[in-house]
Amino acid sequence: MKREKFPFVAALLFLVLAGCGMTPLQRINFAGKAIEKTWKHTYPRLDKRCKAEARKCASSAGSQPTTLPACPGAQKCLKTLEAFKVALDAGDAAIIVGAPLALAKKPGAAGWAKMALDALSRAVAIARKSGLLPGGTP
Amino acid sequence: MTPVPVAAAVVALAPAITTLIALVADLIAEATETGEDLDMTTIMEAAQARTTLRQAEVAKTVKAVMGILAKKDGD
Repeated sequence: MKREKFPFVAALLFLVLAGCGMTPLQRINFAGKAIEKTWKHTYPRLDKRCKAEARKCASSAGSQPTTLPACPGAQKCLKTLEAFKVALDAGDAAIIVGAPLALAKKPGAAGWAKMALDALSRAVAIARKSGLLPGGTP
Repeated sequence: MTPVPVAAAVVALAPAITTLIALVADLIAEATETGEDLDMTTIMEAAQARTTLRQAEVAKTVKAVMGILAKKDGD
């Protein structure tokens, strides 16, 4: 295993461990809080990076306006931001469906809790790939 | 991997690992502490609010980037 991948593996391991021994409702609540913290941590960094890429492009274009397709750095950054948002949206959607089931102690609740945590893992992987979390390369 | 590089890796990664452990421990504590009082409406409303907020923030970033590229005030 590459050394730089260890923190991410550790994070996933802890997420899995956190899932064990918790009721589906607690897992859903946990996923919600983790989704919130992940967004708060990563969004400002992605926002800053996208704007920086756009400025870089704008300055190299001189005084003329430029377009997004002509600026691959900013375009890629916005795509990453969108993918990150979509992954977290899927997590929150799973929470919205799973919470009533979990409260009613219905069997499907655990599946929705897992879906929320899986969506969170996907979002973390996107952030890691863009170099915004430990263990990734920009 | 020999013991020396393993030890060096552990030392080098210690701050990141500690931060992760603290973050996850904090999340677990928060999630389990209120386990008895978890309210469905609160959880669902919070999830909906997060989704709406994310949508607005992404739109704000896109608008700012477009503004910068169009040589308008992007920030």
